[in-house]
Amino acid sequence: MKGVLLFVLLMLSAVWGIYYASLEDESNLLTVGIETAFPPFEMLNSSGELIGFDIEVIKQLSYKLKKKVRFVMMPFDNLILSLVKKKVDIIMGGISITEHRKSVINLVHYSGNCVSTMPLVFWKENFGIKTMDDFAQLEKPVISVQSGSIQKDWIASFSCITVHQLETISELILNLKQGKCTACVIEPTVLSVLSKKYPELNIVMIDLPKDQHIYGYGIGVAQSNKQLTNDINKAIGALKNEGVLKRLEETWFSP
Amino acid sequence: MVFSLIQSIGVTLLLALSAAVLGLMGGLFIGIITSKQLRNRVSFLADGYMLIMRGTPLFVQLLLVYYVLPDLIGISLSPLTAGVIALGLNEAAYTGAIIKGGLNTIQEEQWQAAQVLGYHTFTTLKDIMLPQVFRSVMPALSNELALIIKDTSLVSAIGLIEITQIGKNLVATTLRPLEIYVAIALIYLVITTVITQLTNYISKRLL
Repeated sequence: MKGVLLFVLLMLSAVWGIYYASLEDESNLLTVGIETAFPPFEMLNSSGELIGFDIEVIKQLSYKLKKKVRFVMMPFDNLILSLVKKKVDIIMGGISITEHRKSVINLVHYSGNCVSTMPLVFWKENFGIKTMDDFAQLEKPVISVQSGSIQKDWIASFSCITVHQLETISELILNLKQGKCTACVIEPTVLSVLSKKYPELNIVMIDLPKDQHIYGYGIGVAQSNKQLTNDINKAIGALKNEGVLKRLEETWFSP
Repeated sequence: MVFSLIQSIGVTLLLALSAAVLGLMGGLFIGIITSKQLRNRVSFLADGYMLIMRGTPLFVQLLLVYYVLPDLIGISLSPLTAGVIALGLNEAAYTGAIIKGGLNTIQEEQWQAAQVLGYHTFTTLKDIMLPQVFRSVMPALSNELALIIKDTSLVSAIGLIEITQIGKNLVATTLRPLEIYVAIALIYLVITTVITQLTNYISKRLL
């Protein structure tokens, strides 16, 4: 018995030793908090590699900053918390810039324009809905949103609608397809990619109130990290001027 | 993909076994100081610890260890380390309760006999009490081991790539939850079965 225990202990300590020895040098490393199912911003291809617009932007950014990149995958609703708690250096993931988010973290704009409407997505049938009031009139209206997203904040302001919070966009589509919710609200750029993949999606655009407008997408940096915010601002500015970002947008966002 | 799957199984096993060892050591200590015979002035602390760890969700404990603990003690924890600490601390409470129960079933006369024969408390525990206890609580402990292996799936929430996370990623790309989640469940089933059979075999042979 003692021999077995000792053996297990030795094995474990050896593995932990290797684990700590294999940790990279942190000084020149840029850790990026990211969610994995948000096409075309980031997604996994069939062999499990991260691809997408954000991934390409990060690659370009890392050349400019002369840093190595390590991706840390986590649910979207943990991104901002992880950034504030310094678990990662920056966060990315089609993060919409809103007044509220700007009060918590620094957001460096890198893509997208001001958005004042939000798509309400149905599976095939849209019940002739034009406004959120119409939707609330339905029998047992249920909307699925991604937890931690701005869509969730917006939908939560309608008290008569039941809200289901899910972790990823693919879970939203899955719930919609299986009839677990009446509709879901999905980020417009992501939706434009999804609607090609799933022609059954039926989209109704709903106007957003003024205080909920979105000012494009940003790279999140902790407010305490002024140096990195400046560096990224400069690097993104250079990438914009060189036309690199425009080229990437054309590759990933075009229909 | 296959490589990352094998890697994730390794991560799951490392997480589960490290937490089990941590839990066994902590649980042994907690079980001994809260047992009927050895209660003392600090036992109430262990009682409180068991109350809190068994009365709050493991998921919340994990989030606390990952996001709050580093602020309190001023060190940064990787998701893997945080996972081991959270699972290990939680496991210590349950193992403690099992060991305590095991020690309490031993008749008082054995303690008295050991005392009369001049055994020191430590020797009594090590050579007389714990071997009996382990024989009777081994099924419960191997049950706990299976529970830890399954609980490792929670650690995907703080960014560790383990088996469940790989499954989630696959569902995200393929939108085929049936095949993938069934396969993930089967992988867990195989791991828990192998590990529990192994511990049963070892305990039968060696205890």
